[in-house]
Parts: sequence; C-alpha cells; structure tokens
Amino acid sequence: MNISQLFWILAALILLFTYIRLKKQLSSLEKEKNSLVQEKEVVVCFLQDIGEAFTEGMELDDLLKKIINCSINLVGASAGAIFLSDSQRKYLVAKIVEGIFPPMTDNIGLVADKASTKTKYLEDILKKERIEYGHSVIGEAAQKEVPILVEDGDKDDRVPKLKSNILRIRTMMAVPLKIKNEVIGVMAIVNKWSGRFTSTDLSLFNSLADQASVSINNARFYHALAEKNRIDRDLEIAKDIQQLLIPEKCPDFHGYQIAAYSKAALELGGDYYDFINVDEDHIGIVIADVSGKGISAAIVMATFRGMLNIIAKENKSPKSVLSEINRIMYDDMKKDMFISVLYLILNTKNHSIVASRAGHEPVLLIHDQGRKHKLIKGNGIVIGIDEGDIFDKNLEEISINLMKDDIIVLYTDGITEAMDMQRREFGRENLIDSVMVSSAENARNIAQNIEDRIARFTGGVEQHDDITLLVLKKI
Amino acid sequence: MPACEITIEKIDFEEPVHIVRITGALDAYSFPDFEVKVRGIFDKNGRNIILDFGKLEYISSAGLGALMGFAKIARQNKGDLIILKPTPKIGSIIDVLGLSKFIKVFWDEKTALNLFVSKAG
Repeated sequence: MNISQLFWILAALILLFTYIRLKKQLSSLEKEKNSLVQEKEVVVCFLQDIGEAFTEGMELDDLLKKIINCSINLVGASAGAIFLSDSQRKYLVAKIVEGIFPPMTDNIGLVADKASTKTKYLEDILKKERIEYGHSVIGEAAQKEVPILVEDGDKDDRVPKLKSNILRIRTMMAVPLKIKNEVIGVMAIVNKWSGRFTSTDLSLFNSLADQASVSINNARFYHALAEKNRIDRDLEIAKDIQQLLIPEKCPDFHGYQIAAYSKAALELGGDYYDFINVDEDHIGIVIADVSGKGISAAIVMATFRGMLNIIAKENKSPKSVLSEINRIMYDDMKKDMFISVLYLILNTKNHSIVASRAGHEPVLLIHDQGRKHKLIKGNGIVIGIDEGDIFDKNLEEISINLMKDDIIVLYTDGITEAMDMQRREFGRENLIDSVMVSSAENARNIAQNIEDRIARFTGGVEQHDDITLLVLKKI
Repeated sequence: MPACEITIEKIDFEEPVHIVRITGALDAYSFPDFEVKVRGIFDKNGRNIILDFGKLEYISSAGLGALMGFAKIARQNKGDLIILKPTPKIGSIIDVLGLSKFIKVFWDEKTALNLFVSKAG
C-alpha cells in the first residue's frame, strides 16, 4: 500500500466518522425538537383546560385542583399537591392534594403505623403540616426559587424514607409558583407511572407551573374584583335606604327657620335626622348616629325611624319615647351596635323645648343675639347597650326656653371630628365660632357657613364619617 | 392612621387578670385582631380584663360597640372589664356616649388592679 492509498482510506474513514456523528447529532436534535413540540402541545392543552375552568367562574380551590390534576396526567405522575406560602413567606401548607402524596416532615412515624393507604387520612395529615422554607424538597424549592428534580428518592436525604411501600417516594419534582417574581407556593408531583422523572419532565412541569401561576394570579384578581363589585352593590343599596330615611326638605313652621345639611362619607355610615308632627303644637326633631357602617347600620337606622314615627305621635316626653324605643330595640340589636340619639320636642306655642340626649353630642344653644353660647348636655346613654333599667335611670329631660334670635344647633360627631391633612380635628370650638360669627344671618346661611368652614379646614381631605347638621333659629 | 399594636400581659392573681395594652388606632383594620385577642382571653375562661388605652390614639364607633359587647360578656361571666388611662379625647367620647355607666374607667394601673384583689378577697 502506498502513501496515496493510505491517505484515501484515512480520508474515507474520517468522512464516515463525521457522517455518523452528524447523523447522531441530527437525530438528537430531532428528538429534542419533538420533545419541545410535545411540551408545547401539552402546555397549550393545559392552558385550554385551565382557561375553560377559569371562564366558568371557578373558585380558587377548584382551579388549583384542576391545575394539579392536569399536571399529574400530563407528566404521568401518581400523586401531586399544591402548597401555598403564608403571608410572611416562612412556611408552606398543602392546599390541594391529589392521589397518595406522602407527608414531607416528621409525621412519618405516626403515618406508618396507621392504615397508610387511606388517601383522605394522608391528605389531612399533609394539610396540617407546616413546611418551613428551606426544609425538605418543597421548602427548598420555595426558598431557592428553583425547580428541583429528585431522580432517585431512595438516595436523596431530602426525601422522607417511609416503611410503607405505598408511601415510598421513588422519584419526585417540585417547582416554585411565582407571581411577579414572588414565590406564592410550590407545586409538586411524586412517582412516575413508569421509571423515574427526567430533566425533560422537569422542564415540562416547570412550564406548567409558570402557566398555573398566571392562572392563580388571574383567579385571585377575578375574585378580588367580584368581592369589590359585591361591596359596591351593598353600598348602593345602603345608600338608597339612607336617602329614603332623610327628609327631602325641612318643614316650615311659623316663627322659625330651619336648615339641615347632611353628607354621607364614602364608606357609608349611619347618620339620620327627621321631623315628626307630635301634635298640633309640638314638633319632634331628631338627630341620630348608628355605630358601625354599611348595610347593617342602614337597616338599624330604618328600624329606629319606623319605631320613632309610631311611638313619638302624641307623646310629649322625649325621655319616655327613647326609653320605649330602647326597650324594643335592645333585643334586636347586635351586641356591638348602638345608636346615639338627641330628641327634642319643640312647643311652637310657648317656644319651649324639652330634650333627651341618649349618648349623642350635646345641644348647642347660641343666645343673647349671638353673644353667648351654651352646651346643654343632660345625662343619658346610647340606645342598644342596656335592656332598660340603667338606660331609664340615667336618661334626663332638659328644658330650654327660646327667645327671639336664639339658635339651636344639632350635629353628629362627623362635624367635630372632621380632619385636616395633619389629622387635627375641626372640634367644638370651631363649630361654636362658626355659628356665632354668622348668628345674624338666617338659618340657611348659618348652616352654609359651617359647611364652608369645614371644607376650608379639611382642605379636600376625604371625610371618614358622615356629617350631619341641623340649625333651628327662632325669628 | 397610626398602626395598631396589641400586647397581653397576664397577672397571676388568685383569679388571673389580663392587661391588654393597645397602641395606635382601633379602627376597621385593626379591630379584627383586637377582637380575636380579647375573645381568646374569654375562651380560656379569663373574665377580668384591663384595657390599657394610655397609648390608644383613636377608636371608631364600631370599635366602641364591640367594647360594650366585651363588657357584657365579662359581666355575664361574673368578671369585669376596665378601661385604663384613656386619653382626654377618648375619655370624652366614652363620657358623651354614656358608656362610663357600664365600663369603669381608671387612671392608675395600681388602683385598677386593686379592684380585682379586693374582689378576690
């Protein structure tokens, strides 16, 4: 064999070797491509499934169940679970468990002794476990924020070794569920139908977890939105009720001017005022404030209004009216609710007032042509916290005789507690001053002046409570 | 609103007394926590409670309502619920509403604790 022949033989061998190598590479690339296409198809299929579930308005638990079931089927595992983090991100608790998923921490002994095949029993055990961040495969996936593949569970220290064969973890995977770079939980599956999990399985499982995170986030957002809509609806109903309670306009009665102003806070409260024709010569004037907010406050106020309109007719004693209402309403009111009420009966013939104050802000009287003021208190406690005896014992009746140009101001604590940017309160002093400086004006302008002063004081800060004001002036 | 912090101190008298110290604001946000903690005392058969309002800056009307609810429970269980050192502002709200007819108000911790000692004796 000469050198030339040897050269050609060598060249042919190199070519053959290169061909085989390239062929192998091509085949491996082909495999990888197929696996990626398959993974893509699986993810698309998964997304469709989850998407359908989501549009059906599913609860979060059901959605999580669907996610873990899809994952178990698509990756080919025998059990799976979704663990969610606590708000402090210190530990994880199983939220959904499907199939026989062994416990991850030290309950092992307890479980092994029991009838460990009972899926429900295992599920309960797992759901009671608090898995700390960093502990076991689950905690590690959450802390390190990386997907973890345990190919051989028997050789991995992080996997609990259980006596019972059915609880043996031969292979497992755990991947973090992240929303906006924050871990909200971990999704895990155990034991492949045949063989062990591979890096290809991990890649697929991780893609599923990414999609699942988006779905969980959407579901949470959807539920928050639904909850907000529900609250808004509640608020609308309550506002409608409140509007029905308050008189459309103040009544006209000879020798007096009367003006009212009421503004509900964004979060609905329970302010109320009204006028009642007690008899020909007597007019009842009431201002009240229910503790608490929302629809329950509005309903309590509606009940109070109904009762007052019945009981106050022909009854010239504010104390007896309020006592009766308290006795009736006490049983029906929740333990943590009460109403503060100020009820005045004005005799339009002799211009005297009798009033009772059931824990409400006192009567403000401006007299002597706007030169003097007086806060008329009188004892009394709010309606709804005592069944009767203590309430009656403490409720007083106070009398006021009105002279020309005297002004009576009734208000709720939303007026005196209106806050400015520095959280300072408007206070009684400012209220008194507002009335005194405009005392020569008519009732409408006095009320307007108070309203303007409060608006200037708060400087556009959102009011946190209802504001109600009544101004009565004797002319 | 200032944040709310609630701590509980248990004084081992013959009949234990729980002092619940509240800092900040008791409003819609902080109330659930307060409620859970006070209910926790009742659940463990505690019936004598001192609510230290010395550092309480604000309490909503719903909060006062729940407070009345607790006072009723304490009384039903033959115990007592006391308010300690309310700020002038909160003291005046308690006064206007007439709640002081139901809940005792003390300005000194020792005197408040003495009430329970003398009760036990």
